[in-house]
Amino acid sequence: MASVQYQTESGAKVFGMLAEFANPHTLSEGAKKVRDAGYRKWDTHAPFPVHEMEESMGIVGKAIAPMMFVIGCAAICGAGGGYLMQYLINVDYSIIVQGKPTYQAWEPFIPVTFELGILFTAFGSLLSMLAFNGLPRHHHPLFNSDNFLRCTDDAFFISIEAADGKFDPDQTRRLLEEAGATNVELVEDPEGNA
Amino acid sequence: MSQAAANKGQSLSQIVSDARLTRENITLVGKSPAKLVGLFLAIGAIGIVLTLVGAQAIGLEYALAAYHVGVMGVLAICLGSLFWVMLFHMFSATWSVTVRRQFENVMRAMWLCLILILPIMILEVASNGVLFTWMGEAAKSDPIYQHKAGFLNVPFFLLRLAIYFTLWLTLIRKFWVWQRKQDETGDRWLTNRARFTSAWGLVVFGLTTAFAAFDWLMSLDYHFFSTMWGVYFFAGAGYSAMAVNILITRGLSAMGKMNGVVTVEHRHDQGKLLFAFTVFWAYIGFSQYFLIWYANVPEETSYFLARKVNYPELTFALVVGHFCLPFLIMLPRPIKRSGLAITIMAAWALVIHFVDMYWIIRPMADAHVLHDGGSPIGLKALWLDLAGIIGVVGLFAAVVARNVFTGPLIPLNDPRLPGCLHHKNYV
Repeated sequence: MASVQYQTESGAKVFGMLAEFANPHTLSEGAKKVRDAGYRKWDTHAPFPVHEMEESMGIVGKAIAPMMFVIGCAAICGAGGGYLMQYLINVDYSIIVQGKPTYQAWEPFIPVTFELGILFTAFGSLLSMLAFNGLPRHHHPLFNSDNFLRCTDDAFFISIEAADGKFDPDQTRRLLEEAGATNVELVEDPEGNA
Repeated sequence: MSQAAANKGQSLSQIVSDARLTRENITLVGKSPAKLVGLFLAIGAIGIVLTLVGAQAIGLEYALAAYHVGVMGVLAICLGSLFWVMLFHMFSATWSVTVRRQFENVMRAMWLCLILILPIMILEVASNGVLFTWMGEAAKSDPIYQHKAGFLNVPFFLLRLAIYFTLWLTLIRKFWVWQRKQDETGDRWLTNRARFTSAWGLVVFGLTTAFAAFDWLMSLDYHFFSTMWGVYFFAGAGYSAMAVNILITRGLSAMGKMNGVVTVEHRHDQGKLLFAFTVFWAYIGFSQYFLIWYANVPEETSYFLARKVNYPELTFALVVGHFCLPFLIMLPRPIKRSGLAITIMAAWALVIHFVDMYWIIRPMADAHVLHDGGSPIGLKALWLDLAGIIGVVGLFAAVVARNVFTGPLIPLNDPRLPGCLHHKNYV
């Protein structure tokens, strides 16, 4: 949480600043300025993926490492659990089929081990993706801006949260305008649950 | 207009003008391949001579097996390169344009495989089967052979060899002629023709590669059969061809060539495919083993018994070296992007590829010697095996080196070249 809580004149809590850009290129250039200014709680919004954006935002590979760790753990749990499950079942209650060894042989356990490894990796990927993105959520304060709805159509935005330690209503607005924003607005958060 | 285009003259200018495409950067003109080719030829000659010595000193079976390992390993690399070229054409791959020429340089060495395989066939047929024992008299009374004799007989065997090589060499020639023509004229429609040819070429490739693997590897033990054999051979082929490609492009980078043309992004993709084929090979290899283990049919299990029991070190080396270690090492992204790490992994992939071929072929020499009442030598004459493999690889490397040194190092006028130069991995 930021040290300062900003409020509008009507007393509503401020979620942050929303700046509109004309095209993906100016969005990317603007993002570089915000990145270099040292903001942390901010994001860019565009109707389609803008490829160089990770670099412009300075987030290359940052989010992926913890996610990889979670997925790796899930994979090991799945594969190890899959193997152990079969092994322990066969130790406890051996069923001899076609004279094959039961738990002494590792071969028959591999398909299930492999499949459970894949399955848990898939679950781990999906769930950790949702968790790290803070999903699912029903509403986001940015939707209080009618203008923002155009970001699925033809508009490009940078949003900076008031919770960011460097946020200052005047300075942030000036930064965004210097960065090439065509329109900067303050976004309220009436519920104040940010 | 780029310098490369200027040097080539006429119609190149409309295709690409990029500062990276200078003549110094994308050709080896001015450098003589003589030294390198001479070195490889010398290594090859020494290896072949030592193999001939071994044939006298140790036994024809063992010398022939060592040579067979080399030829099959090299053939797999050639076929794998042909596969990658067709695959890239088929899917209009953009990222691979600048590394594709090196696959083409490797696949063009296919004529050498034909020359190398002929002595094997002549020797086998002339002596009624040294390793291919189904050619011998003893097999004629074997009911299992009698059952397969309609397919597995010498005339049809040689006819198939001719068919395979005719198809392979025709495909390779088509692609190569079009490539060179496009280099000179800049005709973009040649890319389209290559794509069309790849479509049926891949079907032909799949069938011929599988049957070639049945003929020249699986029939070494004519009792044995595995429907996954063709895929297993193909997995090794794709893997080793990618490894050779990485080594060549890394070598060229070390010579200061292809600066900014083959970048860390291309290397990353090469690494991903090398990694993918490690896993693919293991998947196919285990599936083959697993089904045979489960079905427990004597003709099939004898294959794994001859290898697991008599060559436990090799079997272990394959499991660990062809799958476990490369899998764990190449899993992280930074490894695939690191030039040094991926070079080491590619070199290792080549070594283990030949171990794989050795593991398939060599136990049969022991089995046949044992069958004939002799005493098998196991791994006691490793110098002979190394001589056979290195001899063939030396000759192959000489041909590939000569190919690399002639002509530009990338397809000059490929319509997807600009996209390839800006290729980037976002994941």
